[in-house]
Amino acid sequence: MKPLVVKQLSRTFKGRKVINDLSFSLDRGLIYGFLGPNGSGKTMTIRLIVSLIKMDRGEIFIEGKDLNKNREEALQHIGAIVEDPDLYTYLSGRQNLEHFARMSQKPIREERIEEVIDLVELTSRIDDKVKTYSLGMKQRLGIAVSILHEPSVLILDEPTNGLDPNGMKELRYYLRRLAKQDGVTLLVSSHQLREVEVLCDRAIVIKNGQAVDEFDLRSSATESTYTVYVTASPEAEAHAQLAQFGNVEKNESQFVIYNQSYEQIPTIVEALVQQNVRLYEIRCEQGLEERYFSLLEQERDER
Amino acid sequence: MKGLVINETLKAWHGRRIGLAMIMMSILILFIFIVAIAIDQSFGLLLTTEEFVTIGSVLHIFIMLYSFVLVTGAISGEASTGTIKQLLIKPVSRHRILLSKWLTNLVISFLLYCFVLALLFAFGLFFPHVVPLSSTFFYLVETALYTTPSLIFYVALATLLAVITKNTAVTIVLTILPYFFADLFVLLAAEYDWASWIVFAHIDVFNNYNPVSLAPPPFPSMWASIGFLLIHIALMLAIAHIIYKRQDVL
Repeated sequence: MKPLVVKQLSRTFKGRKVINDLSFSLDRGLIYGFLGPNGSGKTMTIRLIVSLIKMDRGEIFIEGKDLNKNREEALQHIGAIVEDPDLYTYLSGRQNLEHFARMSQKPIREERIEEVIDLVELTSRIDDKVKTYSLGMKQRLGIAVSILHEPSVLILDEPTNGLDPNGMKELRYYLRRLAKQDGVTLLVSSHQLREVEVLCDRAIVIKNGQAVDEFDLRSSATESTYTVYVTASPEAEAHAQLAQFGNVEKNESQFVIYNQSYEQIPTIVEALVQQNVRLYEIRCEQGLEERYFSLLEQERDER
Repeated sequence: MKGLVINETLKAWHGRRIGLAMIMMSILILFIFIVAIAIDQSFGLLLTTEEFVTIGSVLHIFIMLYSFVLVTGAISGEASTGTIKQLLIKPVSRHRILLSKWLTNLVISFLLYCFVLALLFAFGLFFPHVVPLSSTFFYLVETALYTTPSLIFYVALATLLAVITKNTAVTIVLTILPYFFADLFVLLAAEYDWASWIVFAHIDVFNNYNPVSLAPPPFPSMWASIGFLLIHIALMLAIAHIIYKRQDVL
């Protein structure tokens, strides 16, 4: 059974269809990046999954439990931080944990509270008021609150917002540990493509409330596509030759061609050289950023 | 439910500073006591325990205002700080969450009122008494009971407004307005037959049905009046619960 299944989810907000027939599912123990431009519906989707807002149409199953029919049973399997780790700043870290422990369906023992404090490494500051915590510490406490009841799905909306590089690194470490050791499935929404690339196993891209693509971030080089950057002259001749391989963009002094296979790269070089084009630089990049932008580009062209 | 009530008590104590409110009330009572002693000695009025307690019972206004702060802080306060999100994604029904909020803060407000009355009684013992102390004590118990419908009514009103507006300041202002001006409205409408059907005409149960009261009661029976109030309370809370359950948290 998949831990989270979203089926044909739709939601209209202020007359605009923010989520439009969105469907996806998550496999157990993997970390998913949830990507999309601003206003694509990422946060709205997360709020729908955790039942902060009502759906107009569609179904959400958490560990097989229908959120519409068995809200409480479904929610006991999920933990989330929506936007900020909103905590009671006038209470101590421990009081916050005890507060949310009292809301769990299954009793949470004192040892479990100590275990999560230990996991997020807040032992020395746990009895201090949350208002004295740094943003990174609040984020860690937020994660502790979210995993306290041992959920099988953890949803984090922009978890690295406001964190310094060290804080990001620490967070990455905790999240990986959760996925690998405890088999927790994570859905991490982020603007930071590099962050997603480093942390996640798979990525789901949404735009205008619809899933545009889902892909593996750990696939081998031969399966992936590349973005090729070429600096050559004369530019008109170079452009003509490159155009036969796909849509060519001019980026300052460079030509950019998206979605090229690894095998295609020598062919591009050969085509340019045969036509006596002077080749100054050729560089190819394989990465989420390239794939992400090319996906959004493709989607724009299709519309 | 027990866990939710503990949570709300904890948040009220630390977040809305009940301890500080108790200290402030104690200081106010002490101030009234000192003024009463000073007047007593300067003018030779010879205040009695029952008179001191009667004067001090005006403090119920502060309790009422503080109850608005407690309820709105628990409902709209959590909406403005964002903690409501973490609360509502937990596997607990929204009904139970809202119920725990207004019920806990209602009980806290009532206990706070009892604390004030008890303190008044204790300070009142420094004055001579002409009626037995037990009678004064029962008068205080009676005062607390008569004030309860009014307290419940305003807590229900604050709950409804806090759920609708999700704004602490707006809720407090909108709740205070009828608290201070409803009597004036009722007075202006008194010449009409329908005036007795204005819910605010029923709130001051103690004065409405006090045998020495000059104004006629809105209904012939006190229990009918309380029943009428309860219908409004139930209606306000039912609407608040329906809205809270369906409300989107953006």
